[in-house]
Amino acid sequence: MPVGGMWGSDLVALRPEFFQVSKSPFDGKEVVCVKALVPDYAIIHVQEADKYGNARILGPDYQDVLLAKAARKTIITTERIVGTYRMKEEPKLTAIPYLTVEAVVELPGGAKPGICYPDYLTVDWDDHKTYVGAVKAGEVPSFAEKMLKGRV
Amino acid sequence: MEYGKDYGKPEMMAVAIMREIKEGDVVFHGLASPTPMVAMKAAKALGKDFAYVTLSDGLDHDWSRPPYCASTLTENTYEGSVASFGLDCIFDLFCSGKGDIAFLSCLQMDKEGRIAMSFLGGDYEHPKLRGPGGAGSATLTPVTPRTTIWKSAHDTRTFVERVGFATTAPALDKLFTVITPLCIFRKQPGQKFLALDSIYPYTTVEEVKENTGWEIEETKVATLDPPTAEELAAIKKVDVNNILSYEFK
Repeated sequence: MPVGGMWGSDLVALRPEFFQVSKSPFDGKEVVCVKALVPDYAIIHVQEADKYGNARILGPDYQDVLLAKAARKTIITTERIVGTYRMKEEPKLTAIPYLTVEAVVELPGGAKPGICYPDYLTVDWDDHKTYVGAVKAGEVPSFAEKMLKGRV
Repeated sequence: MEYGKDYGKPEMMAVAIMREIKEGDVVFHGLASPTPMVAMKAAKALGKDFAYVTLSDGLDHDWSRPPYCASTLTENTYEGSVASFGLDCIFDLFCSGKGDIAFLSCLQMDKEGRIAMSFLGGDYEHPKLRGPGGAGSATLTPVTPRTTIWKSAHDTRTFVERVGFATTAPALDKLFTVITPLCIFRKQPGQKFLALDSIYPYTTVEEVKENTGWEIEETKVATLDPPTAEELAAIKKVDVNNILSYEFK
């Protein structure tokens, strides 16, 4: 798809599998096109979801909604499972609707050691450091086990 | 105001950033940007009327709440916003020509304003240092009318003769500004190279030359006014935890 920007970047020539320059069919001007990315899975943590996968993002949503649309399958992890009546009261707050969602997991604290506004607002730097160490050592499964202890 | 007594390099740089913002501007800063964050909050405290967008989704957050960490991705730049306006919206806005300033940084830069953000040393697959990449700068730099690069270090490791791999480069037809702890460089629309625009009260053209890896032709340039009492008071008001000093330790 065509995008704005990217001109002058060496990334365009370095990654022809992702970037190509094309002519606009409307005015013949050159435009940088990027390949659409289709992740196998998007795993998105939200504040509230119902059991069908209707997900509400109550803080910043970054690019989560785009990710959910792009991925083949989306898994929602949520601070709380709420009744579907909540969505019916305020349908505009449903950021990701059930029909694009494969699974819902109730997982309070699921964004830790990161942030989930407004439930927890600062990064847990000790756990973050441990996570970085676990990635370097190839020990992410045991780190995850420790983080999830008593929570699932 | 006296350098070393009333203000230091962090304050001078923040003030230089504040003075770039004009009434009515739409202004963005990126991730991990404590210096422009404090400067933009202080510009708001001075009563400057501009739209403030960030990666934390908030449009015109409550600037009066002092930041408590150097991250620009916390609720501090979201709480009190008038709208949720995320990075995808910001990209669309700026690519439509409706943005004014993007405050971005770099690992390295050369005289053409070509910016390394992807990596340093080695090659793309096997770098000595992997950078944060160019999601923001590669998209925004070519389309933003007044891209402004801030960098809290001014040395020949940062400002080099030639950047090996340019994550992005300025558009020929647009103004492009670089703010350092010593000076301001500008590339005027239509020009290819950065020129020394002005220096701060506590430095000289010679010192700037010694710490810059490309040839500076200018011998006499304007000296920026030191921070005013009002500007320093505004910084103090919005930054009680002195987050501004974070990048200058």
